[in-house]
Amino acid sequence: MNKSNFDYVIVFCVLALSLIGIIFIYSATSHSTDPSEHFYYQRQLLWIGLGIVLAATFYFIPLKVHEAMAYVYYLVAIILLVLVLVTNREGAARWFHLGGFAFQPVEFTKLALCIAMSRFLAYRPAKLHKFSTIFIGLLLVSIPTALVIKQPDLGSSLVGIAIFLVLLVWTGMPLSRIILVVSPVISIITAFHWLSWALFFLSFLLLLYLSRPKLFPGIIFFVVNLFLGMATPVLWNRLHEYQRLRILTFLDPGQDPAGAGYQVMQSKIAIGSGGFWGRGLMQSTQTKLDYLPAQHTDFIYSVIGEEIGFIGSIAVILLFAIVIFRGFIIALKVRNTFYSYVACGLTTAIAFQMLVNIGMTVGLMPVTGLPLPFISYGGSSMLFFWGIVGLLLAINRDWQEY
Amino acid sequence: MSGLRGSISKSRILFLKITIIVAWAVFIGRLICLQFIDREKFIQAANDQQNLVIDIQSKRGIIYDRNYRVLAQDIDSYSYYVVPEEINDRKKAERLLREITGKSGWEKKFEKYPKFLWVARKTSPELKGYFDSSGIESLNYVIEPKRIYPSGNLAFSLLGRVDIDNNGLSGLELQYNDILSGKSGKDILRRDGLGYSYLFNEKPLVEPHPGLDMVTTIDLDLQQIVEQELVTALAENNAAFAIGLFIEVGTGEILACAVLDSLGKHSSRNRTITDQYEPGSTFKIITAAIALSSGLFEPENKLCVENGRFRIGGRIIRDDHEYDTLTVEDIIVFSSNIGVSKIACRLGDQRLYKAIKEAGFTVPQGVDFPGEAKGFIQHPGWRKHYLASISFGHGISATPLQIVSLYGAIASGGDLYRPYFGKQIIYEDGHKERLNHVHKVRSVFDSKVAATLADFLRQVVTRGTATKASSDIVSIAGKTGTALKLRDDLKGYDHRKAQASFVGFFPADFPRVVGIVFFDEPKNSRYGGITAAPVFKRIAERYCTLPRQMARWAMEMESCKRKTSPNDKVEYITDRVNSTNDWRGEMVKLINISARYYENQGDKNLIPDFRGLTLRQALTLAADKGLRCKFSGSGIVTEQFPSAGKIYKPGTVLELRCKSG
Repeated sequence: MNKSNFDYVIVFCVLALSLIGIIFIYSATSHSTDPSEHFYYQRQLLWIGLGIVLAATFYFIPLKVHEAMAYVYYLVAIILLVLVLVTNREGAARWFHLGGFAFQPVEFTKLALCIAMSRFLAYRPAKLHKFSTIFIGLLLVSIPTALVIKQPDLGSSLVGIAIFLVLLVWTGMPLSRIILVVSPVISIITAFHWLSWALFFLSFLLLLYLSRPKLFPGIIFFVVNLFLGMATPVLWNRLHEYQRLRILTFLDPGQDPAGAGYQVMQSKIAIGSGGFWGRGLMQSTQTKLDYLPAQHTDFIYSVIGEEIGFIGSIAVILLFAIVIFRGFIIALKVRNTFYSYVACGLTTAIAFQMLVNIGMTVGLMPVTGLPLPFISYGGSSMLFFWGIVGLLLAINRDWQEY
Repeated sequence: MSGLRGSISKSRILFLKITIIVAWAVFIGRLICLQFIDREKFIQAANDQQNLVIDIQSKRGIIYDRNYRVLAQDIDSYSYYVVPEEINDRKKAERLLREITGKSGWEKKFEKYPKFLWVARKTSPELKGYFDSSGIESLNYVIEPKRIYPSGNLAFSLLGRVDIDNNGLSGLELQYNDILSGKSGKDILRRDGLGYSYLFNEKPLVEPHPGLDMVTTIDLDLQQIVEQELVTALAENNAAFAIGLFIEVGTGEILACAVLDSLGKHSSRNRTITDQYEPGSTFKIITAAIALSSGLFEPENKLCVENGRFRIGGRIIRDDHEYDTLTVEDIIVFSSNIGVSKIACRLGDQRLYKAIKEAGFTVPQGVDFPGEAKGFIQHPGWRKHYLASISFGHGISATPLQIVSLYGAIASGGDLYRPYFGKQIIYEDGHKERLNHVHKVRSVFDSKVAATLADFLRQVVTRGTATKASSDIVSIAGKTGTALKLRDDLKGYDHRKAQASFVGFFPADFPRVVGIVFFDEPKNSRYGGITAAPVFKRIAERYCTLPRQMARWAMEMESCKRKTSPNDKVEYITDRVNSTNDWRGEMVKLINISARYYENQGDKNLIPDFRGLTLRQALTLAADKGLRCKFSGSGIVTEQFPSAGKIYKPGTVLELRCKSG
């Protein structure tokens, strides 16, 4: 028995991250030419307060309620996504505007998808490792994913896919099957050169032989991979130059030297010039001179890197490491399968967003526009991640339940 | 712990753990790459894109004339800018800016340049008053120096000009650029990610260091007189260009130096120094000098001058006046080419060449001015007709400066002085240091020979070729010159084109100033005695009757009489005073005139009341009075020190305090 069923460590780390967020939002917006941005740090404080209230609410709602409501959440999420697409016909359709505040349904979708997926996987232990699980799971993921991509918000759509894949691993699904599921994507990517695709296809055939799936799914995977591998180069070549460019910059905006490539360069300059100790709080020149894009949201880690240097950057990564590590510990120790899946999926969401965001600012990953959990400015994101904290704490409290 | 561990294999957990650890390791490695290994590169990249180091012009030193009147000065000009994002009431700012500048469309510019926007560059002090009291939000200014020449184009070819960055381009501005220019400062212009630039610091990174002021030998009064007379004479004679150069006798200090092209336009070439011409008859004096020095001739020796036509070395030399015989003295007085040719033939080329070199020809005079020409003469081994033509100033080229220096040597008793412009540097703490010392190059003539030559030159004016230079007010000595110009195809001389000049000094018995008046291609008459001599006379008369000048000479005379001052110059003057008899009448005449003048204009040496004047008016007045100005503030003068009515010496520092009205 644990001495305490309340995980103070997670709460401490998350609070610390949130406070760091306040400090650097202040630093990134205090010089802004738009006076409304000067109040962002105060509003962020409000979001954190609301986030804590939400976390407390989730902490006190019995977990069984979520288990029962899982598909309802999912449906509500889908409806919200459709509604947001319908109500915002022009430009990016990401927000509901309620009074003075904007709400992003995509954050709720992540939560709903995670709970629904956990519920789905937890309730079919007998057929768990069958391909049908994967297909139904894929269907479950792809509906909200398609709607999110339509917004368009490629980054957020990846979170759902990441949760799904990690949960598959977590259920103990054989790796070969997971690879089979992923194989069509690899087929497309490798198809740009005949040699790489030939190598892929040989490995794929070997995998097919070793994992011996049933005839029907086996044939489907074979046909799909073969078709994609053949069709991709043909389709690609039939596209106009600008269309190809558009697809490439959509997948990796860092390729565009005038757009996101410039942003990544500026972010690297900011972090790099911070050095070991950084330039000091409020002393970042890249930020004050507006070289950094979205410096209070997506690129806030660059501000941290420039102002408090290597020490600060490592500290932030360590705080995240502790939170994520504790999250997986909870997922491991909890006895109820559904709880375990939920804990694993939610921790994955934190880990994935953190990896993608920081990876983007240091130039290791494409520019996706995913906010840094707990730190980036934004209400919906803050509420979502504090909601995760509440659920994790609740699961930790009830770890002995079956 | 149990939980799901049973259903998830150990290797799966290990896989997850390794994934996380690898991910973290990659991140930390990446941070080390960025923040340690490539740190310098990124700091450099940040600096490169954020900071633009710009030069701040330093204030250039003032150029004064010898009486501390301003010839060139930097004034503070004010360049105004606003920071539009700090303006709350843009409508009001637009209205105010439109009223002051007369331009509209500011609100659009506010949108376009939110961080920094020039509203007026290098404004006048008057406009500054409007700006300062306008109350436009976020309005600020930077001070940029602007070179002004209070007397307009006066002494243009001498002073030269500066370029846009206040660096000397020509003339004295170039010659003394190192002293005048100071050291420019540095500031950082910040550039932001949106493409705007603005000054980041209140104080510049490196403060500019102002240049030093300098005093020149120029006398503004004489310079003005010379230029006015030349402009008039240019029009009268319809000449291509005119030169006037005046030097103080016994010091080599250049008092006035003017070069005017036709229609009175100031030439950018200072032809008195950078160009060389055939001097013509003014050069005869050197032949006479050698003749007398050699002991082969006495002034009274008679020579046959062949009735104006003489064949030598296969060429014919002509005189304008036909005489049978002339004394050596009269050969100079009436300017006989045949006479000097005969003298030269007896003297021989070696002697002539050596003496010409010693008199400072064909070598630079070492004047402190860029691009000095040195003149030309052939090496000895001259054929007869060349020797003859040298004796009356053809076949040799010299700068006007060299000619004037030679006459200066005659006027000062035989000593050649190095001419110069730069007199003093004034350091920031007010202490002064000489730039050039009076430098006696060598003694060219024996003092007796010099006195005889001076006597010849007096007679040129009284009864010779330059009677038009004779004056009732001041006695003048000098020599006319008429040099034919080479034909355009360089084959022989063009008898229609000539250069007419008069070189001389005054007062003749007490020489203080030596100078040249020179016209190129005068259309009315090619003779120096007709075109140049009367201009010289007018200049001398006007200069001598200046109260300042007369007072000064009177004082010098007093000190000569008392023999109180020990310096060389005064001793020399004393010698001259003792050796001649008629100086007294002349100087008494001058002193009387000047005393009268001072009775009438007694307040001339009192400090005027500057209060109530605009700063620009005050500066002009102070410059005219020879007062050096220090001022604070701008707009209308409210206080002054020393106060009005006090007696002052030229060069006194006047402090003015101003408020914008």
